[in-house]
Amino acid sequence: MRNLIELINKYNHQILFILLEVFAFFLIIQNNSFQKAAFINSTNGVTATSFLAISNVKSYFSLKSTNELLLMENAKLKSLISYQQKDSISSISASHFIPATIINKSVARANNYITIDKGKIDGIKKGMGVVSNNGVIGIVKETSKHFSSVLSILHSKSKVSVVIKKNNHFGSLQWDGKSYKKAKIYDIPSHVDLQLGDTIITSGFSYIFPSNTIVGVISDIKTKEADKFHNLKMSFIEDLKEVKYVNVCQPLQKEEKELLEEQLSNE
Amino acid sequence: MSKVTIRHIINFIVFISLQVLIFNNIFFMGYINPYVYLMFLFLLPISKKNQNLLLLIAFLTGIVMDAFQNSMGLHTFACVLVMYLKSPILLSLIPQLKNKTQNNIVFSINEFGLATTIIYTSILVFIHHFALFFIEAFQFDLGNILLRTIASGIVTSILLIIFQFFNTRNSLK
Repeated sequence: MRNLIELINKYNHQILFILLEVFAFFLIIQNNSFQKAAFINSTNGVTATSFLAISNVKSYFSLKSTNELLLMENAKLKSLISYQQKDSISSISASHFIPATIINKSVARANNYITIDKGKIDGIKKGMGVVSNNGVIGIVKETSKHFSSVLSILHSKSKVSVVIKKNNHFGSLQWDGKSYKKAKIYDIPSHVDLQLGDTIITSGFSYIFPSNTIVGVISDIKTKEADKFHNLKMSFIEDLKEVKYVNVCQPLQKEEKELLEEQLSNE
Repeated sequence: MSKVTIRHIINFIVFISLQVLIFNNIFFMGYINPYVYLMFLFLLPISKKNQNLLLLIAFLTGIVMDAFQNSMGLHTFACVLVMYLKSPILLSLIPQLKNKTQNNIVFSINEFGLATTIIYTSILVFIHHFALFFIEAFQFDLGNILLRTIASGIVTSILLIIFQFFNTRNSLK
């Protein structure tokens, strides 16, 4: 026993070093496996409030481009209204949107996260999809009262079910960790005829994202003759480095489905 | 609190804010994200007596960075590693320090010269960046990690060496 105490005394620095590193590694692994215990993240009070302050200052510098964007969006919405009046059956999307502003984001790391300025109080729940006007942004991972942290599409664990618009073949979109402008598409059989520039949209299978949301265009086809599946790269239409205003989707069908099931059980 | 402690607390606030407010928003060429908050760890003295306290300070710095970056544990791991390796690396670069009996060794560019500063800074920066990027991205290919480490490491090293010039000017006053 005395020897042990002497040993600890002699090597206390090394032991502390190893303990701290093991603790850090434990945090990394726990955070990776998507368990909730991540209590120190960017939705907590101090960090989120400082992000909000930074974002407020930064937004002054981008007022001009934001205005231009809003004008463009207005025009697009107007055209959609006129389109709807002509054809009342087509619904643009079956989701209800909660607008939000991005107050912090990263694109340069292997696992990127986004923080937005809406939280539980605004009706945001874990697992909701986040989209912008030009594409898919990510999925809500954690919420606090006023803020939410979003697992960006630029994350090694993000996977989105997508469809080639012209022939309805579906595959899955996953980021390869290289450039924030591009991602890979898997599971599209190699017999499917594809061309550069084909549009890719969401499938809406999971009710997370509304169907028919544009994601990107095919930018590279590297399929060999022997391959079973296409080796595809696509480029995002949305500039994920610059995006500022997003919508969180509240899927309506999901509620409708739950309501229907409730009625059934009441009978 | 002593003057030195207050100075280190100010350093901590200044470099963490610099990192969070400015440098975390820089993605030069999509790869380069310099981590200048390391300067705070560089400015801490090397002290045999307080070595455990210094490790705990590095741990705290890492936790704070992780809270801002949503990267639980990554910066903590890298910071503690850098703090642990700081004194063995400096002692191996300048062996005569071992004979000195003084308790605190504060690194300064005046005393140790430009060449040593560059080697010392870049070795520690590359250790930090490699730990950071390697753990962050072990599912991706190695070439990508090396590219990120080298690109960001060079930029961080240059920035830290520039900061050290400023630091000397302050201590001369």
